[in-house]
Amino acid sequence: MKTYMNALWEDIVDNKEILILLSIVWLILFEELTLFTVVSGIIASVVVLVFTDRFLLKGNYEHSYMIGLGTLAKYAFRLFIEIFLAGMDVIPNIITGKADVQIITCETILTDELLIDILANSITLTPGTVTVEKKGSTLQVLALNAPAIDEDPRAVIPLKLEDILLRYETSLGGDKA
Amino acid sequence: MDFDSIVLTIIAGLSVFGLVRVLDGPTVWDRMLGFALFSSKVIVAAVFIGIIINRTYMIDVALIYGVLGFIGTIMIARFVERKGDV
Amino acid sequence: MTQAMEWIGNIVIIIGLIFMALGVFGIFRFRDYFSRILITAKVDTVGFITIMLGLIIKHGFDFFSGKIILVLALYIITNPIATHAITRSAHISGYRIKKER
Repeated sequence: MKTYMNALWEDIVDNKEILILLSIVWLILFEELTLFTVVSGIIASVVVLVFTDRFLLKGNYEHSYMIGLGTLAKYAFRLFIEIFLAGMDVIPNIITGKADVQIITCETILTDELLIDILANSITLTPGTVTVEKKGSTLQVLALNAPAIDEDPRAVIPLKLEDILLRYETSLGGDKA
Repeated sequence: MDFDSIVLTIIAGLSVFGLVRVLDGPTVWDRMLGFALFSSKVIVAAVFIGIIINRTYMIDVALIYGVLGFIGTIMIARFVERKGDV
Repeated sequence: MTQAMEWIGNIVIIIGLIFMALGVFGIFRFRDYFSRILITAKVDTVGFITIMLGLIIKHGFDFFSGKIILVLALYIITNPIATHAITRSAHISGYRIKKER
């Protein structure tokens, strides 16, 4: 019993950022800030977390899913800026009606599966590029206004976003070693 | 007629064009694209209705419609991709 | 001060409406499916995000804005997955364009 409680406590300490996020979502759905909602929110998020961790996930994913609130906020801010810039770029194509669509194969420097997925979804979210297929760290990107044959095909990836993810990945590797 | 009502009218007009693409599209993927466009318009329209009648529960409706539209799009895409075997 | 914030919010919402109208215009402008999904659906996403940001600016910091942020987060997470599923379905089923490299 005591070891079980210890394991539970370690889970809670490991996932404290996810707990904070879940409690905030609970408070927003209730639309009031009282002692009852705060306590019930914390209890509900602990129950959800432990249930997901013990019964739904087969492996041990805790360390690869901890992006961190600071990195997440910085990434979201940068993503908004990239989306608006790319949206401005696409407007002349809509008005003139010209489209030169190609499928381009390119590689990222990232190696972690979750980070590659986040990068692929960001590529899909920016106007002008859609990810079609992912295998390992090779992405097939459907691109408008593609770079010419003699240019670097990596120009379709928003490099600033990859940079933020890369910095996070190196910090992750440093923790493991 | 204030600002929010005008915006709601414009969005309702735009969503009709999304439905035209669903009825008209030459391929099945064009129809799916029109459906995704229409569901995003419905989310925005639900939020604006919530502002106009000054109730917050309409945003819950928008959340649930977002989840339903997502599941619908994914399921139809899988159905077409595997040629009838979900 | 609140008056000024309301005007800024209205202007941002109008910009978002222009983006959304451009997206709907583009869906009838192009002839083949891949250019449609590349331009149209994504410009529509830009319009969605802009309108939601305008509403948040207009309402200030309260629970209403929190719920709008929830809707926005859900849409940003699910929308690329839906687009990816449609495009991959078209690619696998054999819809091709002329050039590929």
